[in-house]
Amino acid sequence: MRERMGFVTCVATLAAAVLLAFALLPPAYAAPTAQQVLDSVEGTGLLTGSGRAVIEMTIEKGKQKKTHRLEVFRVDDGKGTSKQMVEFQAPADVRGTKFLSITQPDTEDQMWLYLPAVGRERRIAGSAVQGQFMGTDFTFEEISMNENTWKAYTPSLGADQKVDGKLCYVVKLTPKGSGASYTSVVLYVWQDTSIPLRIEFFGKGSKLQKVMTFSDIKPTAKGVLQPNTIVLENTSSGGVTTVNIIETDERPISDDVFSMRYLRK
Amino acid sequence: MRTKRVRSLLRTAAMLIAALSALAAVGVVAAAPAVSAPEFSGSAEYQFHYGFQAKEIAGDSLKLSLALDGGVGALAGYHLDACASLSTKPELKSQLKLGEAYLDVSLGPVDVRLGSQLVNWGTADGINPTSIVNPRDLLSVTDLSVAGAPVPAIAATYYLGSTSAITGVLVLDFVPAAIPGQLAAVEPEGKPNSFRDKLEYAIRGETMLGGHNVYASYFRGWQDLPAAWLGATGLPDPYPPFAPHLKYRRIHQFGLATAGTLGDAAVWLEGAVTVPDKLDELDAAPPATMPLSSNDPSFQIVAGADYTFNIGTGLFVSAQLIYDSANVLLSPYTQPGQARKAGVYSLLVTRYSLADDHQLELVGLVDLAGKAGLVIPRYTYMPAQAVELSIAAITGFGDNTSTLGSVVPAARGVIAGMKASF
Repeated sequence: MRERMGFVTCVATLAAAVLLAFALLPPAYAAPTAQQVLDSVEGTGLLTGSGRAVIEMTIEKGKQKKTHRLEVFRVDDGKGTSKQMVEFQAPADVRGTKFLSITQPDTEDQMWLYLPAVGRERRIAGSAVQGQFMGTDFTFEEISMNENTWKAYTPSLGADQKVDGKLCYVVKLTPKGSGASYTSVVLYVWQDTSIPLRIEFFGKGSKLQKVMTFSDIKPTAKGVLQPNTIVLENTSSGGVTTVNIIETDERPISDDVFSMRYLRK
Repeated sequence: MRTKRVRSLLRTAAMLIAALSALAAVGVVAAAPAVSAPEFSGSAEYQFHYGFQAKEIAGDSLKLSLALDGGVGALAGYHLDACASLSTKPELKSQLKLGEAYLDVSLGPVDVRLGSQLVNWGTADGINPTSIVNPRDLLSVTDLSVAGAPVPAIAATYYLGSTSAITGVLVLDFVPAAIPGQLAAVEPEGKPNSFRDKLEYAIRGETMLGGHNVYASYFRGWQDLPAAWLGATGLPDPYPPFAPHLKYRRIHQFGLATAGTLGDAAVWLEGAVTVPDKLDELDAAPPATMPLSSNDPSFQIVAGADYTFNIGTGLFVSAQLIYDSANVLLSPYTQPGQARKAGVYSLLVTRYSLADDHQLELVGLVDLAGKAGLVIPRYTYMPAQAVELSIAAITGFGDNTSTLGSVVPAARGVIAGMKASF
């Protein structure tokens, strides 16, 4: 079961992206700067979501197709402390596996993995969340897209464009130094909602490497718009990962969920 | 043997019935009668080991495992699992084994588990000196893991906040481990008979200190394997001058385990001191007695770390150093007239995914004191969801003077298998 660790930790990080679903999305700013557009995306739920979601993730590579179903709980106090519990419901070989992560300001992230076959929790190191995201061509960073994701880039605003008929700000990110993963990244941010509808990742020679699209945008029970489908496409390998949100619940999550006790249940 | 199994099943069933009755008595069932639909899961697995020394299939098994899980209201749940195994080798018995069968109940801050269960303690990877409640097999040289058997027990964990807890375990029957080698033919003495004698107990406290999980444990109960010695028969030739004797004894075990992170690496430390009750037979003067076990306290310590290098899809590397003062990891008994030497081992694991469906693994166990080693490279392919095909080679080095070196020749070979989970 240990070989599942990379998979599990990576899947757990997906939950952070999926929790876009929990986001409160403020209205777009009038004539904003590139940084303001970027900030509006950052501040709208990539980091601050709280609630519960059930998601289904399908990975297609060539003729192979695999589906994973997860239940995700997350709280974020908006001050830098976030807690996340992910439980795997399918497929059968990982059912019952749980992952708990706690992020607090000025301390190392704490992560535990519970494997039913082993019958106890084990600590997970930060290095385990590096690398590819469960066989897809996307990295942890691209999947989780937290506040640090764009810090290595300088934003500039391009001409507005439409994506699926929706008017978008176009924000081009160029690397500040050598620490960036791509030669450029382009975000298409829906002006009405600040939801990014499309993100393009370019590699060496300005070659388009990956595209992430957000669609099936619907209001939650609280009337907050959320994308229910996220598609990650690798233009080089042809691999496609589709994330569908099956259920969401924005009610507060008890702190008991983020405990050793819940992890072992 | 069959009578024993039936007794065990009856005992487990009785415990479950008693637990359900207790639930009803406290109103849990009445208050939350919603019984969730039982959920079946399981796996079918076939594996064979071709031995290079014997030049034949040294062992094979077809296993079907089934598990049933369900809930009774929000505060209770149950689990039952069983495994049927078949082998083409007549010496490897085909059998049907009941695994865990327990009922879980949550009462406020306390979680109680009643029934036949595994209590897995420890922080190390695969070799856990503090995991003492269940009888454990010796280290398997084909997959370098240690398997345990369930025991009938009541375990209660009282949670204090999100990271601290105290667990108490009362084991209701003594379940010994399988005696290895030729000594299995010897009838052991000292097996407890009365219910009171069979009882064992363990307690563990846990908390977080400086970002590390810390666990302290104590166990009082029977040692998994009996102590052994050779006693003079006093018989003339051609009768053997010595005969083997086995006797079970109680032990105290004190354990400590920690796990945390150091930078981007996970680190752990786990150790246990075992203090056996003294047996006069082991201290008797030679040549009347030749001890194969000791009355002395012993300890095992495992220190390890893992790190995933950002190479390609991520190269996982785990290393553990194991100090075993009594050197019982692979062999519980010394040779007659031989002094016990401590064992120092290193267990290394590296793993790399070529893609989502292909994985390479290299596991190595090195006996640093005996200068012997076992290396197992393995390739796993997942052709479909929840289906695994694997092939591994077992090889090694060292000579018969070390415990590990002595098992290398028989272990050398190829292991192939498939597993489908559902």
